[in-house]
Amino acid sequence: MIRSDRRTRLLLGGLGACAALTSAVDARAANCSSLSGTVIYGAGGNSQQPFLTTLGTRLANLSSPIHLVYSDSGSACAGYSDLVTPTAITGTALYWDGTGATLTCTLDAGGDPVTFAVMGNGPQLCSGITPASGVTFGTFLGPVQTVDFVVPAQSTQQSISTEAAYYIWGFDAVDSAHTVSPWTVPANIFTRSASSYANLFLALDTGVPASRVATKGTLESTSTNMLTALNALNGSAPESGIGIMAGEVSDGNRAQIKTLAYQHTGQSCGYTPDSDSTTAFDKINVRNGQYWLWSPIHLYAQVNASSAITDTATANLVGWITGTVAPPAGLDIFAAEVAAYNVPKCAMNVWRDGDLAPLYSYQDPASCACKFAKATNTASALLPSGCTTCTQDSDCTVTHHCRNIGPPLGDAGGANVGYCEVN
Amino acid sequence: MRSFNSYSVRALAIAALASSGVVFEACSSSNSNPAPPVYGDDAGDATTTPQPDASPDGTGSTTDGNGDSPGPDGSSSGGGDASDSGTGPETGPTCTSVLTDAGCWTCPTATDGSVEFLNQCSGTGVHCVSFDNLGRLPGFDAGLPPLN
Repeated sequence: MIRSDRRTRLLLGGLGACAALTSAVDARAANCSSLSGTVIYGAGGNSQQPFLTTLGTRLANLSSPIHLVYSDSGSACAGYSDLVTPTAITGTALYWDGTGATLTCTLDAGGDPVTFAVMGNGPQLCSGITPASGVTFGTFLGPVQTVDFVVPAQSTQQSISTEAAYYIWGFDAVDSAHTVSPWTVPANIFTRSASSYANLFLALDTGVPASRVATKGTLESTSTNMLTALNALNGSAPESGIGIMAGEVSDGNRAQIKTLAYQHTGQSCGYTPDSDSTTAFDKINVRNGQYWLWSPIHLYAQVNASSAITDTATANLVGWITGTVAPPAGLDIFAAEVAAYNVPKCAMNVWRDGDLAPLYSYQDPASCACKFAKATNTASALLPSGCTTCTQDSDCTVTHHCRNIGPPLGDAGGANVGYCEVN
Repeated sequence: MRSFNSYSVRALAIAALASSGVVFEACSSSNSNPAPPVYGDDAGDATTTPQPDASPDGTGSTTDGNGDSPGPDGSSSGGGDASDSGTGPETGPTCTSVLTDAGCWTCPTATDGSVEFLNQCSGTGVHCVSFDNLGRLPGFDAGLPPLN
């Protein structure tokens, strides 16, 4: 309120065009709590922002609109801390209207409590955060996202190993004995803070402490900033640039950056998440267990003694994402996940229990592997066996059933269609 | 925050080398590390013949649908930083419970755990590109350098 009064005075006083412009811009920012329909406040890093964008846009378009208000305060763990050490978020936050645009709104002066947090990693990787006593928080798993090693799009590099990452982010080309060609320029090795999802997974994967990773190379505060920095090397020094970020971000910016194949320790070859890192979005190597760096999106919320989320709107939101609550008409969670380059659990053939934990074979009781493959235009050679569209079980082989019957993928419209899935 | 010391470095290095050793011990009768497999047409760092299908759950999620067939024994050619493409259709190896000379599992993975999944032989259309640790990491033959 004090800020608003001051701005009014500045305008009335005509103290300069710059001040007037600033005030004019702020005047367009909505008040978060005044957004129409239900408003749900969350916090977390920006690695899941593309998913929140595709989801938030769909929620805003519901007949009874829901607006997600999201505080990206700098890192995954910072957002988690906002939830579990209950912290009212202040200043500005992101929200999404029905156009797909990411907008900014102003939080209440006294702050707004968050009812959910989002990270790619489990809370045990966040150091120095002690959840409030007397309150219980639950963890709920959403779709799978990847962490990618990325280089400028014009780079000719194609792969990296765990051990190479250890050298790069353990020493940032400090001398020839610790340098991996062509990543020889410390300033062009990009890193994230020690509380970011990308850094934490890099540290967990290589054994280089997150605090050390954060000091090697050039620190970028967001994956978007890292994207900008890597893109700036195209045309000048693309070979020297390298960074790490969530696949949600890198997949949406393939004109600027390229995802490297990753060869994990003990692996005989490196794989990209997709069958082709420039043209495909099938996540075939994630789904089949040959790409190591992935995790389900972690959602956190306060729960009661029965492990039920206490906030009704948040409980519905999380339930829709995890599939435990039927979404309202018009809300296509599957489409939101695929549009953000994520993989629904029902399309996974492997799974893991914990951050970068060993893989094991998995088949979802309500598989959507065929639907996912069709939705991502997976090459015919990589389609699951028996995968075809259908309208009834008799359209499928005897081991498959016609599942997930609904409107055709995309916005083309037309008669309902299903997919031949195992089980 | 995880602490890290020289013991951890040694453990990581030993684990890395041991894992590689196990992989190649299981798949090769010679002492030379075989080049890893590269599938498809645009591999960059190494070259081998295509491999047969295998999926973690045995459901045939990576079927060979376009008529390509894998190499006769899973053997590979080339390596290092050469940029070559696959050598074309050949007869594939039969399903065995050990790694092929190309370093991948020909059978659907039967054991939970990362190694079999990570090293399963893929179907046509799946590409991989190796990273040559020994050739590109200074002093790696002695293991990972300590972080100090």
